[in-house]
Amino acid sequence: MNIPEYIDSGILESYALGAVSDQERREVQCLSAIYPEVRHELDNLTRALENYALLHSTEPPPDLQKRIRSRLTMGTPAQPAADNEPDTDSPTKIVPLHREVPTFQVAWVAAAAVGLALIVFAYFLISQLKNKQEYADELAQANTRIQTEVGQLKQQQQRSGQLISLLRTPGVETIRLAKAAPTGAQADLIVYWNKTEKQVTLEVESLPALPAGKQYQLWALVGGKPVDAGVFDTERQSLQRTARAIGAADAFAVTIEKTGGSPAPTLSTLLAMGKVG
Amino acid sequence: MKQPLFLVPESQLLPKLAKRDEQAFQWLYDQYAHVLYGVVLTIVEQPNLAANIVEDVFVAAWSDFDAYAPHHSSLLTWLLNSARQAAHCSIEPQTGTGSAKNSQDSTEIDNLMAHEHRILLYNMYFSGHTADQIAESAQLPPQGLRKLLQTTLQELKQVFSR
Repeated sequence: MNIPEYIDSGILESYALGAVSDQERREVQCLSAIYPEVRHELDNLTRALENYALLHSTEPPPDLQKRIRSRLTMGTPAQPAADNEPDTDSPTKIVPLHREVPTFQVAWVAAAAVGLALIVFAYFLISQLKNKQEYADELAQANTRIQTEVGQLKQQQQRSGQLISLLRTPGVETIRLAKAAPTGAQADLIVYWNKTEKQVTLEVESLPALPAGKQYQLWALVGGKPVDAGVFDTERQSLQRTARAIGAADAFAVTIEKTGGSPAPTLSTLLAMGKVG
Repeated sequence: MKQPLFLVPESQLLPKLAKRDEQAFQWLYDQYAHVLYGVVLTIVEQPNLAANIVEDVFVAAWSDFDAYAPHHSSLLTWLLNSARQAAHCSIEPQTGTGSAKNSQDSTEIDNLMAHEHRILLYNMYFSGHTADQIAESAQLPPQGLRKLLQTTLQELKQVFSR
């Protein structure tokens, strides 16, 4: 189909004025839907006629709007067939509009209240947590302290057990060593000497601190001559068995010697002495 | 082509009309009541009758809005056609060439269109005569009338595109 020719045929003008047959009307509607040029020309013609009609505008009677309104049903029609009936449509349409604002506000107030309650509850939980944590810390400290004490008690008990078994052994002599010179430092220790087994065990009660690279050395005095009876360290509250076998002794003495011990005692470092018997 | 000047475009009006929105009626009435009433009054020439017809046209348009096909015509043309049809139905169809006594449209049209075309347009738009009646009274063959209508409407188009 030649579209420019069709537009120029005059049928669009007749269509715009309603002067066409039914078949021609369908044809124009169909072609204007397909061809933008047809549509465009038809729009121009109908707009010209609209403008023409507007030239005849007249102020309608003042009550006309009210008369029309009284016959209209506002709101989405439920059924196209029943348009005059459902007067109930307008209330259902209006009620939500009025209710909307308070609902909105109530929702905000409720949300704020819930938020506040949550904050208070969270604060409560946090303070509770803090208390519990402090309590737990205290318990942990007490636990550590008790464990330390238990450890100490166990050590003490072990030593007491050893001591008792040592003292029960026949032939064990107890020799208390005290500071050798009245001006010397505080020195107290006990030597348990098992003559039959030739074993020496000692228990330090108090000795002066050792310089670096030094050890205590125990001597057994046999016939006025010092015999090495082994080196030891300060291990308070425990029994130490020395490495040397001592078969005979008149007395015991302690000096400070270099680590590992010396063949002969350094008399200037004599700390304590005790006679056997 | 100069568009008729309206504050609310149809693109905004139609969705609200589909929902029969209160605002849509206000816009519809404010924009179109003048032109519909004016056109109907020109046809029926009686203010009371014209008001009744316009009232019916609005009520019918409101309830039959779903029948409006936007791809066939603008809303205003749809309303105008239904108003003109209602108006034509309410008057006794006149015979003869149709009087041009009320055809003093406006100075704009009077001055810018050929007198013959102006009378034809007026008769076609307002008299309610069919094209055949007009062709007969003007002693024109149907094709001749069609040519005349084409010239007339193209002239009208020119008037409003200035």
